[in-house]
Amino acid sequence: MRTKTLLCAAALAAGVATSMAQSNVYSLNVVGYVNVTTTGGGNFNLIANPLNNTNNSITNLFSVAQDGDQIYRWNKGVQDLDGTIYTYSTFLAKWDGNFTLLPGESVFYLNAGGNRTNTFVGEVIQGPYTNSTLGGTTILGGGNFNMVASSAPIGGSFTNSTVGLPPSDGDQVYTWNVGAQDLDGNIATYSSFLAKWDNTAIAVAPAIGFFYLGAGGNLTWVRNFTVQ
Amino acid sequence: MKKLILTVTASLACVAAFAQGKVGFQNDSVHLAYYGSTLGSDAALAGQGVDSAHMPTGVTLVADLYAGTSSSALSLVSTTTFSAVPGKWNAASVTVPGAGGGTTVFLVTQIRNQASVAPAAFVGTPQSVPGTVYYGASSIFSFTLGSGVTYPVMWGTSGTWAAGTAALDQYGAGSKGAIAVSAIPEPASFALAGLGIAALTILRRRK
Repeated sequence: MRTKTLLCAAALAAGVATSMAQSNVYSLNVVGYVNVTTTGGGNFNLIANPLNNTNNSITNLFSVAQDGDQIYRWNKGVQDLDGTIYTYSTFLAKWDGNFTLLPGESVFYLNAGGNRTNTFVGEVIQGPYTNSTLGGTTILGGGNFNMVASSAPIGGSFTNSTVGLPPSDGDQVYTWNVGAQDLDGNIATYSSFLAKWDNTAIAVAPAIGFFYLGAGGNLTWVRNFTVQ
Repeated sequence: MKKLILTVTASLACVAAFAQGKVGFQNDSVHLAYYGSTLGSDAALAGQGVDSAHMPTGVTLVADLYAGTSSSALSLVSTTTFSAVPGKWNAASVTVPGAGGGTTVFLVTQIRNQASVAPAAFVGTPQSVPGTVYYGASSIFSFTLGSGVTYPVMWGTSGTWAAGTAALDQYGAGSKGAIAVSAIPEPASFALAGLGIAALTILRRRK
């Protein structure tokens, strides 16, 4: 009887083990990297962190920088670049300040040296994610500019980047023209009457930021991205 | 050292570029351009928004932006075409020459035939734009030019452009027209009317 019980238990354990071995276990996390090249010579580049790193501080994201490189954030409250500027010194081998650059916020990166490529490493954000920039999660309307980026590493038309942000009549998207060091003259405007953007050909590459002019009321931008 | 100087110079040049006076030449749903009185052949346009698909017969309308530090001395700074959205012209990012960011200037928008020539200085009458068949102008309003990276929109809080009063709810509840674009009688029409009046006067005297 005892032998019989032991055999039954062994068979059950083996069955459970077999069934566990047969069912595939998937990890839902997707990790990767994105390279973004910035133009040097004191030029401003509008870039963003497209992946969620375990450490999203600029001292980690831009751990390799050139002397005099600077990072400027957008202060939507004053509708201008924020007065706090972050500068890298090769002599001190560090940035003179630090902040957390979450996916969804873009910054002006002043490349003081030669053209160079920065590699962002991290996890693709999946599920509901609320875009947050300096000053909070509100995307300002009323004709105000917001300096934002896609929280997912997706390129192509800017409409791929703005998924989850319901446009209001007159909302606009402006990209940064590095060559001209100015906002690009090619602007996309949303018409609620036509229920569409007038120019979806404007492209935004992964890790590149853009300006979103909110023409309606204030919004919260929640994106629910899933890797297919 | 040389590299450092070059970098600092380039950076200052970029920052200086940010400091020019900027304005987003565009309108919103309460500052639409619309047709007032029209010529007989364009009667269907009356009361509609001006857009690229609804132009008067044989005419292409454009929008001019004039700016100046005095409301009586406004210079032409930009011209743009109309978009496919009723009542709206294509947005243009404009840097106002000779006016730095933070300067308060006066702005006005003029609508005219593309084929006509916009005067260098704003006058505000159809006669000042020879050859135009349709004409319209916004009110003159003050606006504080942007000094940062962006181009503050002329209908936003940086300016005092009052919302229009002409109801254009067919383009969305609350939509308003702020610039009436109307047909301008040709000089020949004036001449004909004058001849008619003269003839009537003569006939009356003979009786």
